[in-house]
Amino acid sequence: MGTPPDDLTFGWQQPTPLGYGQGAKEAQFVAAPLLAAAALGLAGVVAAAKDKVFLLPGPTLLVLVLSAMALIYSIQLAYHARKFLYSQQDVLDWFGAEIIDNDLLWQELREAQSGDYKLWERYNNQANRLFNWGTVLLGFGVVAALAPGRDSSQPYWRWSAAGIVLACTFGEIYWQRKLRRQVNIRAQRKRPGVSQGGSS
Amino acid sequence: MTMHAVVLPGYQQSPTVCLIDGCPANLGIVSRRGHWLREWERSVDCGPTAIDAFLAKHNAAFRSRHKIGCPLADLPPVVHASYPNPADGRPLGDQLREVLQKVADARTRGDRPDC
Repeated sequence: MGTPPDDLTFGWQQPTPLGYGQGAKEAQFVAAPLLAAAALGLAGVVAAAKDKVFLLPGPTLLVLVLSAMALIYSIQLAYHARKFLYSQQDVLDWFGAEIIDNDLLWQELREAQSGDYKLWERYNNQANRLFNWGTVLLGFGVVAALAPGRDSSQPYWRWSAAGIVLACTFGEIYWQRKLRRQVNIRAQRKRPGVSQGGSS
Repeated sequence: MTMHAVVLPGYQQSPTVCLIDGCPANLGIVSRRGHWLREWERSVDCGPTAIDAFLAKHNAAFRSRHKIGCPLADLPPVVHASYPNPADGRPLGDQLREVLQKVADARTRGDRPDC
């Protein structure tokens, strides 16, 4: 590699796939708060109950609180990320269509949108990771809460329910890893709409 | 306790893409970004042999995804995922030019004997 180029021309960025921003919003701003509330609610039940009702009340509380914190942090990161995601059309709406005639400013705005897109990508992926950890921890927390203690009634039903949730939680882990592989497999295909002609 | 609070499938992460105009490179999900960024910076500090070894391991599969002549094709995915650095107030282009300049300087300087 010789002298680096003086001119780096950035294109207008968009999520892959295009609907990702909208889809992520549902998980980040609807599902995550509900799940966090569920984790904290269940933690309150475990904390208030007699110790012998639950098999392992201490670790159960810990897992549920960790789940709630992960989900709350995922919401915060998602809020922080959201402000960095905007499109070329948003830029035109804010500055007016005549901004295209100002080459220098148009390039600066494009570079700024590229940089902001990268920030969205980074913070959003962190939010995604925390959301996924949060849901898995919640699953394990529910398993631990269902496991019957010495004083609990109907232990066999509770063990059955715990087993089902445990299986679902491992299914969740499998699904998360499968989705990750799919993203990397899809990455081997050329992004639609991006060609040698550029996206000026 | 409702069902959706018990099991809700995780949603996939957004892949890292090349920012250069017209470059279709999709670099997938970059894992352990902090660790590999430090390793890349250490490789640049060591010199061209370490840089080439790092690129052979981390960029060989991705280089062909860039458009012909993409100025960022010789940077590994972890760099694409790590810039701009929000703590650095400079524009994205300035930060990336500095990264490219460091690599060029390392290749000119040669390998450090203590690496």
